[in-house]
Amino acid sequence: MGWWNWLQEIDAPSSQTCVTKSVNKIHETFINRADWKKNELLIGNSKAKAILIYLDYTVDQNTLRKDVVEPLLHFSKTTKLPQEWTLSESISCGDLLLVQQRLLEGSVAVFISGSTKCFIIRAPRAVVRAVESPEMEFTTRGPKEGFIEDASQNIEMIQKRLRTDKLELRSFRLGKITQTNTWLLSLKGITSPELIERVTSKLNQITADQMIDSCEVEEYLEDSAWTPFSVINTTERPDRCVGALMEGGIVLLVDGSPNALIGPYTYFQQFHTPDDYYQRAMYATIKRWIRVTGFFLSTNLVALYMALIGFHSHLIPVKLVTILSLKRESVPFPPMIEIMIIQLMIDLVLEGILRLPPKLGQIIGVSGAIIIGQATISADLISPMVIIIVSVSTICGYAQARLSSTFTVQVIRYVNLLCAGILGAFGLTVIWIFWLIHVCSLHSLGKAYLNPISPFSMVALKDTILRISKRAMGNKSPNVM
Amino acid sequence: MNRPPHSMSLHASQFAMMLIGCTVGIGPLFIARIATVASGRDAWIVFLIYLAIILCNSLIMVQLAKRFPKQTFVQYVPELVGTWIGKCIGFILIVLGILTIAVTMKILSYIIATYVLLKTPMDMFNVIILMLLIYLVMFDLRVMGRLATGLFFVSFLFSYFYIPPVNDYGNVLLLMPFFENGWQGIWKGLGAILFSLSGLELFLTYYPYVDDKRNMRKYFIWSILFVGLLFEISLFTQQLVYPLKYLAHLWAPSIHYISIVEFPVFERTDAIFTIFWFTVLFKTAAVYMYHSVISIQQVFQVHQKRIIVFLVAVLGFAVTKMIGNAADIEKWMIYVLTANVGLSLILPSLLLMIAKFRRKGLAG
Amino acid sequence: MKRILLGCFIGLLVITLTGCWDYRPLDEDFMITGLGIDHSLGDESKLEVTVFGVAYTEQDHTLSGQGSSISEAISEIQDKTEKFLSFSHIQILLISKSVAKKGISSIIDVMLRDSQVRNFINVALVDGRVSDFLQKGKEYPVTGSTFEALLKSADLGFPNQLLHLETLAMNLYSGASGFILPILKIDKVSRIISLKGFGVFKRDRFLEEIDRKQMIGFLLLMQRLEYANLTIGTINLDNPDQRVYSVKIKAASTHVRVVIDKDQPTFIYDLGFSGALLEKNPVPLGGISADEIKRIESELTEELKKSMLNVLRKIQKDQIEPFGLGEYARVYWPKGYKEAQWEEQFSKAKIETNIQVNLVFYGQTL
Repeated sequence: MGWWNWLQEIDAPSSQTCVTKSVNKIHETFINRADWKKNELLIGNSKAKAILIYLDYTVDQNTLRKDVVEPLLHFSKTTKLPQEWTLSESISCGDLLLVQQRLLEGSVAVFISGSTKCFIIRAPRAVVRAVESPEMEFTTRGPKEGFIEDASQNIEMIQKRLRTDKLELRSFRLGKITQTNTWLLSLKGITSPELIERVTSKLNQITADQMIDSCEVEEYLEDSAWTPFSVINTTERPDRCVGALMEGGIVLLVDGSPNALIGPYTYFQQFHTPDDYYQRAMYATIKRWIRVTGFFLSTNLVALYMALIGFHSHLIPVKLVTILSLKRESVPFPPMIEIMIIQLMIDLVLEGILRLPPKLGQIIGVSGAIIIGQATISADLISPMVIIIVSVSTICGYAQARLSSTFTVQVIRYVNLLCAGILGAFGLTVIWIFWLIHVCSLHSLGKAYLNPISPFSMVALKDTILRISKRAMGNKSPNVM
Repeated sequence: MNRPPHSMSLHASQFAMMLIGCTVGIGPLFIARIATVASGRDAWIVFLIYLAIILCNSLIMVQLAKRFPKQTFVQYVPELVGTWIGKCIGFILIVLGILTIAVTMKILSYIIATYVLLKTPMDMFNVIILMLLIYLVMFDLRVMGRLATGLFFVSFLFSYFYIPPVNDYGNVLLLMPFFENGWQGIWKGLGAILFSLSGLELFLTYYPYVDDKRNMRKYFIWSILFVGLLFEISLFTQQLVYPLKYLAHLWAPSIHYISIVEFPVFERTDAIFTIFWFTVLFKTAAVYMYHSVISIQQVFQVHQKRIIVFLVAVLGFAVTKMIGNAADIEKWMIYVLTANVGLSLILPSLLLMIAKFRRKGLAG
Repeated sequence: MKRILLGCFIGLLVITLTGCWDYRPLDEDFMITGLGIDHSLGDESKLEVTVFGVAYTEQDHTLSGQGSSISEAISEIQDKTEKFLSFSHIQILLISKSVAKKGISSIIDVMLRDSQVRNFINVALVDGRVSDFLQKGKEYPVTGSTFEALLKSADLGFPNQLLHLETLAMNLYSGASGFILPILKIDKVSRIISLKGFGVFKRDRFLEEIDRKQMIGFLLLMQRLEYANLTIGTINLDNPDQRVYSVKIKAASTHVRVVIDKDQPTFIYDLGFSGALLEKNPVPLGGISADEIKRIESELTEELKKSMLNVLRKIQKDQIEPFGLGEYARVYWPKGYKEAQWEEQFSKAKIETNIQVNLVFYGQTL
């Protein structure tokens, strides 16, 4: 509706009361908001009165003065309106809920006395951090751009790498109270409709009050929370999201969270890093194998040591067994307690460092590693072999592509250790098979978690534990998930 | 819980892995000794003949299964031979399935008690393995298929050890002369090694659960060939390495010969190799357990799965208590598995004839 | 939540039900690395078992026990130490000559019956008391590798598994009528252990001793010789033309043919060797001529033939057949071969040798 035409009808007396009523009603809703503001002013040299209502802390003062107040004060027939006005939406006075919503989003509502419509002008206070390089997913080559807390900005970062009309964007509001904006990204013709349907229905089923970060959405997308394996991937990198979309996956962006959710996510993808696709294929393959080895060492080394020392000393070669048995002779604790002490100590040191400022963290690291480690060995409380084994397995646990794999590894390590401590190698084998059954029973958004090993797919293996060259991969896009 | 829609359907390759896993389970452990005791130096020839017979029989099984693409064996048997006889055959299959589970578990726990944990009571192993089996069978068939594939890759690492190191030990003279005992020896040997390819008859149970029927039939034949080759190599090389009389002294020669292999980190390769036997025997027990559960559900028209799984587990455990020492295990194993294979040799051709005669099922 | 609680409960049940029966940490074990079996001093009817193992304190390395059976002796040893005897790391089994004369099949059986004992431990005979050998000293047969090194230094190459427990068992169970074991000796003063010779067994009983030179012939007949050092000639100060030289020969091809003539088998050994000249005295100034090489080759051939026939004569007289020729007879002489009488048949069998030595390396720089 044209601005000028609209001003023509302002003298209708019936609408006068409508505006006052609406403004009062909105005020009632925000009665306990200290930043509630209501300003009245005359439009230009006409007699019409404008009522501005907004929440002071959500609105940018500069925009308010320049784009709302000044154009209204200096209004005449010849005035050219600022862009904000032409783009503003007009809502009926009666639609109070929508007006309230817009106010909470940082807009200014302009009521003109005598009109049944109200203008919503966006003037949100910009509390947006600058784009920085992703902290957790560092790459040596490739883009250094990471997501920020503003979802619209994040969508632009993805869009800029994916200039196609096939990009679909579905919007959801999650959280009854928080009303968090969430976007589901997919590619038309590439993403399967069943997948979108599945995610949509899962998102619609959410009845929670709050949805602060993407990690909360992640929990609702999982089939079961009782698993140490994460079945949804999170990323800070727009290039990874693009890769996932090209692979036929979906991306979920949650306003206020710098982490996008990617699914489906399978077991072997936890060994993939974005760097794999920016490095030479052979190098990337070797790196993947190192990560896989790291995973198995980290989960099993301690348990294996426990089983060998406690149950199956006959499996150790004679030269090694000589050294081990002589070193263990003076240690007062059984191997299980010994391993537990060191394992807990390392985990506690790591937990302590994690939340401390870097300089203090260094001190804890030094005192943990050198002083306690040295002292326990020289006091003959712990045999040096245990310290080697436990630290190697801890380091291997951190040599993973994702931080969440580290937690997975930690859980599995403790469980394996317990089983090996009860029944030795038999216990270890049983728990391996248990984990295998467990992994087989997992699904990530309907896709088997053990894909592509089972169900087996030779083609998909090219980019699973191998990373063959992009030329050999053919038309298929690299899997940056 | 959000499960995929057709949760009972399997991929053809997954089915092949299941079949390979459950066939490789028991046979190669004992075949070298039992075959050579029965038919002397011709054992490896006997097995080739046996493989040919099984291949012919598998073609008959394929023909039979093709006629009833949506039904399991126990479902269509009553249609062919009448309700009561059909139910009886179903019941026999269930009993054999449970006996096979028990025998497999007993072999497994015996191996563990010999090589890994010497003082732990064997019942303990049985209980733990059963718990694992129950956990697995409670899931749908897909999980089993995936597990079979996963375990196939795990055991693939170990498959090298199927073949004993021949270079320093092997002696071709040990195989000569060929056809030493003539046809009589071969006939005797055939009867003795009938047990070794047990597990292939489960094709008839799992046929309706596979999506891609054509590929499944193809993979079925391929997996028989694969397993047969594996058995043949294992048998042949063991005969090449061990003198005939020495072979007769070894309970499980396939584990025994691995002790020769030396590793820098682990010393007792035979003990490490029990991990491999654990995986394959576990797979065997799991596949038979699923088969028993499905058959019970269909024969007795029960849909409650949980109770049946626990029932099968308890029955299996009870049977393991009846099996005593190593000689006992062998006796039970040969009886039960020979019955499995024997039924699969007799029934399918008989039923196929009846089906053709009475024009039941889809023709062609 | 109910299922989780049930799971936890079952898990706890498993933990409490399993009593960690097999839990025995490494440091509670007495790792036996060498095991010796001898007769009791002064009482031939009793066995003395000596174990040597890894121990924290110096004096605990060797322990002995006596009894009328091996198990009884071992339980006596167990009484002497607070640690558990662990037999899984035995590297070498030493048997005294006096025990070996009465038969070793029961000893091998005991070792194989225990699934903890590895099948490829080395077995050797000793000259003297076993307990002298299993003492901590400058050199001791603690590890199998030490023992194998000892054999290798004998300048005589043959597959290690020839002396493994498993091979002995295979021989005994498959009815072969003999095998060999090395004999060790110890210097009482310097306590250095060295190889004395080899012992020939008839069935499972120690029969006689052969020296290293005869051992070459023995291994040739077994088709198991890998390499050997041969020295031919002796230095005679009075005769300057007397030549002495050393050659290292390597087996290139071994093959046995069986020819049946008038229902009697003849075993023909076709053996090929490649050789390297290690030392020669006197040194020829003009280089080694082709004639000289030919002469050396023919002399080597003669030497090898002689050593083979020497051993053969001895073995045939003893009526044992440790060479595995029985298998050839069974396959190629099915009419005449009788398993029960094979030793007797073998003692009358004809054996021919067809040896070819090719001196490949003779030092062209000279």
